[in-house]
Amino acid sequence: MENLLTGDVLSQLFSANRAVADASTHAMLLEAILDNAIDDSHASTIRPDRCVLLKTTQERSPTDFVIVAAWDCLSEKVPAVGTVYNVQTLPILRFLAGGETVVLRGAADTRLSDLDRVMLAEATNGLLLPLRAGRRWAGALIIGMRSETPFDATRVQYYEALADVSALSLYNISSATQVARVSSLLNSLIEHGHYAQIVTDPNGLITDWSPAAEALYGYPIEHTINKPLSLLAPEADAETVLEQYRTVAREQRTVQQQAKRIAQSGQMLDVLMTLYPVYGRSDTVIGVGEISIDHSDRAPLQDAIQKERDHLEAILEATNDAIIMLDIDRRVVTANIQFENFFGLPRYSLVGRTVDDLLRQVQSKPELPNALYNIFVTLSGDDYGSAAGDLEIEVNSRRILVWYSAPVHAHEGTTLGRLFVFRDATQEREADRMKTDFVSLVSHELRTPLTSLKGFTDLIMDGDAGPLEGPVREYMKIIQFNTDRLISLVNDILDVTRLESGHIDLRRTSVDLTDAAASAVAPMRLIFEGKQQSLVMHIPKGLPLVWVDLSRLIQILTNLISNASKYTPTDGTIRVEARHIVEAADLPASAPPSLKLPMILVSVHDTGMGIAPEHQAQLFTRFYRTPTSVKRQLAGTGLGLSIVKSFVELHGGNIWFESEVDHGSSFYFTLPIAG
Amino acid sequence: MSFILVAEDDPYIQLLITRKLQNAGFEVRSATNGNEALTVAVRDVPKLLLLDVMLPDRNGLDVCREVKRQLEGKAPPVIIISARGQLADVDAAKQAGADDYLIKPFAPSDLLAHVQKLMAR
Repeated sequence: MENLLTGDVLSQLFSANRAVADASTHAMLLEAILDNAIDDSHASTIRPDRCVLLKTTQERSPTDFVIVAAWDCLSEKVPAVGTVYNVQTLPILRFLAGGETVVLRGAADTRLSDLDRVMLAEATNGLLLPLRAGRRWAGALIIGMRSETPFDATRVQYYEALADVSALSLYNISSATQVARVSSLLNSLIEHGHYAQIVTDPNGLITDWSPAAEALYGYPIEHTINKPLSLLAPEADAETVLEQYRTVAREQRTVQQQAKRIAQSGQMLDVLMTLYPVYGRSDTVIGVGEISIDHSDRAPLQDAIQKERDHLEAILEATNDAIIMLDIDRRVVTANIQFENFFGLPRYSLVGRTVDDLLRQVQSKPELPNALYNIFVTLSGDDYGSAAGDLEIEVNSRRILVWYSAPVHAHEGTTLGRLFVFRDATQEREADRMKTDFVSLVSHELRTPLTSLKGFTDLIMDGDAGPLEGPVREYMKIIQFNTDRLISLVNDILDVTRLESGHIDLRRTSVDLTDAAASAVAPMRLIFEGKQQSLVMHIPKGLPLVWVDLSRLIQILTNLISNASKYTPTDGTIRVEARHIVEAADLPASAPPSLKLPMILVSVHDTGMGIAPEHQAQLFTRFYRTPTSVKRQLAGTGLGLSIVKSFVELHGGNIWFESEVDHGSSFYFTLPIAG
Repeated sequence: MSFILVAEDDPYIQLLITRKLQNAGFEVRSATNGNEALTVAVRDVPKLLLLDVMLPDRNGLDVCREVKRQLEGKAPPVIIISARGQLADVDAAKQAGADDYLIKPFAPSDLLAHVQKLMAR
C-alpha cells in the first residue's frame, strides 16, 4: 500500500500515537483519538462529531462488542457506556469480520440498516475501524462526521494507523484493568507479607520490584532495577536461574517451582514461586514476572534440625571420650566412635537396640570386664542417680577409663534418658605416677645429704666437736633449726604427694591416746621450756582406745601442738584434751553436723594470736599461710594443716576449729573408737 | 672382739655414724658395699650390724637376709637405715630379718639410742 502519510500528517500521527499509547483508561483513549482527529484538509486537527469506542472480549473472532467510551457533539446523542452490540443489534459490525475498515457514507450508504443509522446518529460520513493487535481483536472504533466531505484515502490511512495504536492501547487498558484487579488481590496478600512480585525483561534483568519483594529479599528497589535476577540466586545457580527466565520468556510457559533464594542479609530462603511471561503490545513477550512466597519457615527449620544434628554428631565424633546414651525406653540412642574404639563394640550393632542387647554384647566379649557390665546393669534402670568411677579395660590397648553416668533432662525437665561417658585417663594416670615417682625420688635423694647435714650439726651442738663459743653456737643453732625445717618440708612434700596419688596406707591398731600424745609431746619439751609455755594434758583414764595408725596420729598431734606453740606467745598455755562423745549434745557448738557417733574428740587449745575470720576459710588449703604467719617469719610450708586434715579424714574423722583474734584457737578432731 | 659393723656407701654418713658410736665408746668397723659387709659380718661376726638399704652392689635387705641365714643363731641384731619410711618398707625390712629400722635423716642421738637398746639385749 502506498504510504500517503507524509509531512505534517505523519508528524501529527506520531504525536497522536504517543497520546493514544499513553492512555491508561478507556476515557483517556477516547479523548486522545478525539484530540488527534484530522480535518478533511489534513492540515489541522478537528474533533469528529461522534466517536464510539467498542471493546470485545473475544480475541480470536469477536461477536459481542461493548461500548467502553463514547462521545457526541450533541450530548443527547451519546450512546450509553456498557451497551453490548452484536451483528443483530448493529448489523454493520458484520463488515468487521474481514478486518477491513468500513468507510461510511451517510444516509446514502445502502449498507446501513436503521439500527446502524441510530448508532451513527445522522452522521453523514465516517469510519468503522477494527481495532486489532496482530491477530487478536481488541474492539472497534466508530468515527462520524456530520459534514458533507467524505473521508479520503489519506484520512482513512491516518485513522487506520491511529487505530493500530488504539488497539494496542485498548488491549493494554484491558490488561491493565485486569492486572489492577489481580494486583489489588495480590496487594492484599502483600499486606500479609508473603507475596513478592518481581518483573524482569526477557533476559532476566529486573524491571519491577514490589515492596513485598523488598520485604522478603531485603533489597530496596533502587538496588535491584536493571540488575540480573541472579542477584537473588545462590552463586552456583546464577546461570541456571537466568536461563530459566529466558526459557519462560521464549517458550511463553508458566512455571511453578520451589527454589532457593538468598536475601541481602545472606540468609538462604526457600521460596515457592510462579514464573509467567509478561506480554507487551503486539502480543510480544516483554518480560517475565515472578510471584513468590517465602516457604522458609518450614524448610529452614528442617535444615536447622539437620544442621544441629550434624553439629552434635561432629562434636560426639571429635571428642576423645566414649559416649553412649540410652533413651527412657532403655534403647541406645547414640554411641560414638570412641565407644567403638574403647570397647570393640561396633556402633551399628548398638544404636537402636535395647540395653539388654547391649548387655549381651558386653558379656559376650570376654576381654570386657564385669565392672562394665555392672555399670550398665546398675544404672540403666535408674532414672535419677549419678555415678562415677574408674574402670580398667584391655581391648585394643590397656586403658584406665574414668567414667560417669547421669540422667539427661530436656529443657522443660522431662527425663530423656541416661548418658554414660568414659574418659581415657591412662596417660594422665601415667603422668601422675611419674610425678609421684619423681617427687619421691627427689625426696629420697635429698635425704642422704640431709642426714649428714643434720647429723653433724647435732654432733657439733651436742659438743662432740668441743665446746662452742658465743656467735658460733648462735650460728650453729640457726643451721640446726633450718636443717630441721628443710627435713620437715621434704617430709611434708612426700606426704602430700602420697595423699594426692592415694598411695597412703594406714596400719590401724588399737591405740591408747595417752601414749600417742606422750610420744608426740616428748620431742617438743625443749620448745615449750624455751618459750616458757605450759602444756596441760587432759586425757581421762579409761578413755576407750582409738582405731588408728599410730604414726599418723602422732603426726597429727605433733602438727597441731607445735602449731599451737608456734602461734602462742611466751608464757601461754597449750591444752590437749580428749573426750568420749556419745551424744551430739556433748559436742562443742562449732562441730559440723552429722558426725559419726560415738567417737573420741581430741582438742588442742592455745592462748595465742588466733586466726582472723577472713583467713579461717582457707586454713586447711594446701600452701595457704596466713599473712600474720608470713609477716612474723614463722616457719611453715602451708602444708601441715592440709596434711593433718587428710590424715584425720583418712581415718574417717572430722577436723574443725574455732578461733578468735587475740584469744587463741581450738582445733578439734574426731577419731574412731577401737573394737 | 666386739665391734659394730656399719655398711654405708655415703662417706659422710659413714663418718657421722662412726664418730657418734666411737664417741659413745663403741668400736666401729666399716664396709662400703654389700658384699664386703656380708663377708666381714659372716667372718668376724659383729655385735651389731648397721645396714644401709641402697648399697652400690646389692640391697641392704638382701645382705641382712644372707647374714641371718648364714649365721643363724649367732647372727647379730641388724638395724636397717633407709631413706624410705613407708610401712611397706619397714615391713620388707622385718621380713628380711631386721631387728630395727631407722629413717634418714636421723638425729645421731636417736641412732645411739637405737643401738644401745639393741646392744642391751
